[in-house]
Amino acid sequence: MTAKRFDNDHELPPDLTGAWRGDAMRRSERPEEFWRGQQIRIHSRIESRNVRKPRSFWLVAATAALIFCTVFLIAPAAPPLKPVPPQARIDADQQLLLAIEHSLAAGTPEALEPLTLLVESSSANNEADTISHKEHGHEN
Amino acid sequence: MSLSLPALATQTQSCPATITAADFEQIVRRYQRKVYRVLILMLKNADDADNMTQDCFLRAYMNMQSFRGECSVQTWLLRIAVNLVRDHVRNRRAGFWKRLLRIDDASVITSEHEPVSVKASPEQGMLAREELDAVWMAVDNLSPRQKEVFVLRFAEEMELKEIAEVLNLRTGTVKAQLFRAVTSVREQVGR
Repeated sequence: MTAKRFDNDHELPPDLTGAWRGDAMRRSERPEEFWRGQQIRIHSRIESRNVRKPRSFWLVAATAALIFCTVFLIAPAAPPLKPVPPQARIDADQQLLLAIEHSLAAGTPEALEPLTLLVESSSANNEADTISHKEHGHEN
Repeated sequence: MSLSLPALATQTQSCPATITAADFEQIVRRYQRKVYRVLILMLKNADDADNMTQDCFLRAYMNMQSFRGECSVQTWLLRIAVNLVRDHVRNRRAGFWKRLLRIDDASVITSEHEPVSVKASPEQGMLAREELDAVWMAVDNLSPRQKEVFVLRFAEEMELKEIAEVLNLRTGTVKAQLFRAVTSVREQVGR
């Protein structure tokens, strides 16, 4: 009973519905030429879309290429990266000794000869120390 | 694009999982009348309905690749058509002068066709015509949503579930809208 009432609430009297539907159909009836014409219009609109598509594709591609070239030309050329020469890690004492050795090699005044001997023995010790350090380092 | 007509010849309500360009002309032929009918009933203007039918198929063609066969082709097309009507109505509301045009449109379409007189005396025919006019007027006064539901239910005789799919609503909402529409029409027609 409730279900039937519910259905009725969602329906109009069948004669009225039928008449309205028939009228609605009549209002939308068109001759066959109209439908054919509409098909042609739809077809041509689709065609014109398809024809336009490649043009827009080329336009987009050309614009992209232009932007790329502009950016490429305008952007400052970045300096090439130079490899950084490896720097020997020499401490201040060794630097001083090297400088003295260098000056000695260039010719040492007689007054400084005792110092030369001192430097030579000192640098020999230093080298021995460095080698033993390295060996310890490798062992570790 | 050659719009030849292969696969859909044997199909009725069901639809292919994907639509190819080759299927499209057949889809146009099969559904153009239905789409046009729904549009003219909602818009009440023959030119608008014609243009919008074209728009509907054009939009369908452009979005053909996104059709996954989750609903029937009919549902898909009517959904596009209803969305076009909604856009159109929204735009039409923008100006007061356009509202005046709407009144003209309504008068054009009601006077466009002669009343139905189905094997009845002139008096009976006149009464039937008056009643029918009252229904049209009542349908005109429905809210856009109620009108959509009413047209799809009574002109296209669609099931509530299918109407819900077309309008992107829940079936319960469609039922409620239909109830309101029917009640309103009954009140205005006096039945």
